[in-house]
Amino acid sequence: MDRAKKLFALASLEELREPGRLLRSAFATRVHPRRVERVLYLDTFDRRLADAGGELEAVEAPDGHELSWRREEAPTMVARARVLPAFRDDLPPGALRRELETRIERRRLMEIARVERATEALDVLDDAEKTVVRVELVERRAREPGAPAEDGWRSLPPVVALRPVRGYDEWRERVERFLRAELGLVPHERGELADALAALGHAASADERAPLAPTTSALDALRAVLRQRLGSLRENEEGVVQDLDPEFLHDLRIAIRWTRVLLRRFRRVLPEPFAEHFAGEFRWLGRACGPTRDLDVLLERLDEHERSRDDAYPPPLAPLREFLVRERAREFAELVLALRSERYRTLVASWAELLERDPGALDPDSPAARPILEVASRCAWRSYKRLLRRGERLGPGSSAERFHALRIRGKTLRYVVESFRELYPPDEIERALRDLRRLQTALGALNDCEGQIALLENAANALSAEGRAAAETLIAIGRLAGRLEERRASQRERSIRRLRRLARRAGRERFRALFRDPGKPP
Amino acid sequence: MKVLALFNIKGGVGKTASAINFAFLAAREGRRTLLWDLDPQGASTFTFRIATKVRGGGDRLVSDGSALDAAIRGSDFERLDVLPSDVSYRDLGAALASDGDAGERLRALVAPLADDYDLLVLDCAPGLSTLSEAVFATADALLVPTIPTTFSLRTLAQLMKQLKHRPRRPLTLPFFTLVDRRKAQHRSVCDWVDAQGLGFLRASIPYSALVELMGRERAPLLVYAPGSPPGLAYVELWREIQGRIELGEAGSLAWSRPARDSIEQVIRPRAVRPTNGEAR
Repeated sequence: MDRAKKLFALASLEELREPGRLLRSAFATRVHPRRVERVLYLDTFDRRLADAGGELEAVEAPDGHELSWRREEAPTMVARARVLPAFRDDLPPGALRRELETRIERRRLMEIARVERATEALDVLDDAEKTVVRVELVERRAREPGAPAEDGWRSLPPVVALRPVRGYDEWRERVERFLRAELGLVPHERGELADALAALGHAASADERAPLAPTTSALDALRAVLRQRLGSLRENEEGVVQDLDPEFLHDLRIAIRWTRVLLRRFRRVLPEPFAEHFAGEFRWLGRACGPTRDLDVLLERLDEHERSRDDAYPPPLAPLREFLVRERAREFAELVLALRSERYRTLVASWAELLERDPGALDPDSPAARPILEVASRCAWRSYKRLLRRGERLGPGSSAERFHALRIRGKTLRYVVESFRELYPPDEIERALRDLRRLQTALGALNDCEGQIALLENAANALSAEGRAAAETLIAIGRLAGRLEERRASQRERSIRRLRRLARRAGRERFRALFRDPGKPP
Repeated sequence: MKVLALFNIKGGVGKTASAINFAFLAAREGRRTLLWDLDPQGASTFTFRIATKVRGGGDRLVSDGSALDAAIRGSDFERLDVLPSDVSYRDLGAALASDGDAGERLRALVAPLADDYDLLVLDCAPGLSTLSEAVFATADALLVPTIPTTFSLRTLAQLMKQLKHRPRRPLTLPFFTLVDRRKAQHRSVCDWVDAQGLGFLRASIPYSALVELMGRERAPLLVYAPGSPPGLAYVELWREIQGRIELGEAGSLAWSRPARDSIEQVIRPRAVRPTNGEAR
């Protein structure tokens, strides 16, 4: 339907007059009045849509917004929305929603940038005065979302956009050849959002960093990966404090846990006193985040349970919900205090300073100077063997502590492997990670069950002691706990099955080839 | 994707004018719209300034899945494309029926268009034929422009009888066009139909020379005469049609009102040729 437009950048606004003048002198044309439009670019905080190679635009319209989802080599999808969508359920039903909802999942859509375009549009016509090419001469500027109205605008390169009309590709090619010959235009490959983010000083994607080489020193490689985790922590911080979306806290915790794992497994690579100090500080931060997250997950489970009910009576679990919401508010307030504390600010600033600091010449015999492929592989291989040892003689009746210890081992291995996956053959590393992720998913679900059962017991005791739980509420809590216990049992079985898969011969050989003998042909 | 067909056994009743203006309105509201000119006369294709020619003709459209896609042309208007007419469409029904059931074949042919379009408008040739049978089997709704005369009502009754026993029957929405309230017969037929509650849409298109100017202006009426009585009547009629058919879903709209620019504000600048006469 809407063929992708082709952009050509110009060096200055003064040059923007030339294409129109030249086209009017050479072709039959129709000139449209200048129009100004404000465009909001939306994405999740972790830039899922950018990572999918697309841009989601929302253009203000009298009664809402026109949404456009653009990806290279694919037709643009459009939809109209009365309100700016914040979550997938806000997207209007249709093809665009189906396209986006699996990408954004439960993540909130946020404004990433605002762009204002002033466009002079000109149609090139054939002998029948039919529009065969649409040309747009576009002056653009961008600002941060939420910035004061007229402050903070940054100019973007003005562009000439050729918008083909379906079935008239030859005309588009003719006009392009003409403009290139007359003006020496060169294609502008970067999309408007990337232009805006560059002008505003942001990375286009959450995971942007320079690739690692196998011979990069272990210290440099580790610092690069830790800087990424720090970036993730900083990106999620404000979303947590403003309580925009529970997933901000989820990803903040991942950034913290990942950092802690790398600090522990590679402590001999980092300068010693620092590794110990920061390990302690990140442990403090991790503990500050835990209770709120656990309550978020339980509240979500409660919501799912309530949605599946089908009666008009006040839900018996309402007192439980109220209790959990109060507890959550209390824990969240503690969390915000922690994130706003001097201790946190010092942690982030000093950690950033350490990671940015040039380490200078390294002792060639030190672990820090060894090639990262060697150091990461040795660490991954050891972590894999430890995981398997932890899993030996594990059965459905094993204690919760044993499963928890297995989960920690699995997380360690996964973070080590994920941190340096680019050093390994992509297909093989993906197979290794796939089995590992499946194990961790089951162990994570099991861990959630354990935590939620404990929370429910505490809640039931507290409500009972306060005299605020009628019999039906306690019975309903009991039923919910019962369901969780069933789920716990099945997740234990599942975890054991997946561990056995990881430990079977093919898995062992894969891990051996990847990490014990890296670089050797299979 | 919804499929609306403009059809009447009789010719000259305003099918093409209606198809063009409804398609234009749908696109203005943000629906990705395709108008397929099924009439070999090619009037709607001509109005949109597109050549009435399809490479390989109707036979190729039916036999080669990619030919239909390649034949589509963008119009001058955002979100409105045209599948042009071709003189070979007089045999299109036979081509569709050559493989079996013409209705099934046509449905299969248009189904992939749903990836790109929310609405398919079929501007049909007059008369009952294999092609019209295929259209009946494909369309979600049949819009039947009807001149308010006794003969036209009789023809409409014949059409309804044809549709009555079909296993798959589109929603049929007749409406009056070319209405001249100065004529006693027009007044009496309109009033009688109204009194009988025969399911006609309430809005009607008045006779107006402005509608015939579409051939000269080569644009929808709503572009060069948006505030005229027939222009406003088309808008009203389109609103009424949307009230009868759910046109939401498929990636586009939940509204029925004009989008960024209201119809009355459409400005179509005039075309300008290079003054040195060296148009390329």
